[in-house]
Amino acid sequence: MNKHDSIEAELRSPEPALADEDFSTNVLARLPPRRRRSTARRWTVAGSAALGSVLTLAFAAPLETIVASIAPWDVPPLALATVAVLVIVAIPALFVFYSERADR
Amino acid sequence: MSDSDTALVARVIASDDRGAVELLVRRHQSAVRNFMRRLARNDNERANDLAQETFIKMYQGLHSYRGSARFTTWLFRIAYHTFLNDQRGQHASDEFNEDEHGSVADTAADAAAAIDVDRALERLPVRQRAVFDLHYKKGMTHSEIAEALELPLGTIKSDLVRGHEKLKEWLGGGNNEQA
Repeated sequence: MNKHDSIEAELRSPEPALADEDFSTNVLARLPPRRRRSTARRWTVAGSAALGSVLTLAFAAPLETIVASIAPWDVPPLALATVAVLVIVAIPALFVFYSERADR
Repeated sequence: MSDSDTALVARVIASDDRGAVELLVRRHQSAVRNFMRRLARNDNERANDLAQETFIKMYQGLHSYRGSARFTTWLFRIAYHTFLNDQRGQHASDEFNEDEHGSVADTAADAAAAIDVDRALERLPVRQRAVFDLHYKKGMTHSEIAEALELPLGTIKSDLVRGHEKLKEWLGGGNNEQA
């Protein structure tokens, strides 16, 4: 084995695996506190979204009229309006659900 | 089956999952600490401090990890810059000596002594130490090293060639002067 080969072999020798000991614990202890969305913030966001939905329903043109103008031929406007209201109400609920899930 | 790095990163981004952070740290601590030891010339205390700082920066920057590069490439980029920043801040004059004129250890080195490869590597400038460690100890390709250190591919290749020449010169007991 010439000099070049022996250097190459030395360079390629595996490095020692260092035991973790308390290294990971120390790193985790130095991390900033976990992000937490407060309960108050969740309810504020959800409440604002719900209020917006209510105001939209109260002051916009009657939902049935809007739905009727775009409704397919033989679907009752009332059924479409019901679906639309459920979607509008479901959005804030899903938002709150996602926020809580992300806080685990 | 253990989670991939990318899956763990996704868990941290989605829900700040500290368990996933811990798994990432445990998985890569040895490689990063060895890398830092190489750069810090076996100053283990400094290497451990900088490795910790690397993982904290990793955590803080995870949202910017796009997954286009391997996670380890991205992680060693953070480690390298963490070391350089520390070096600039605390040992600016030493770094100048090291990179431009060879280290203090070089001038005091005994050319006749049988220097092993590890000690010879310590005498290389910091960038070449990083290139050698990533290539030989971490098994990274030239392209991955270029990406990790944010240097041109040609620089990585020439660092390897020049580093080899120096090692052969030093380990062969030849002329001890640096180019």
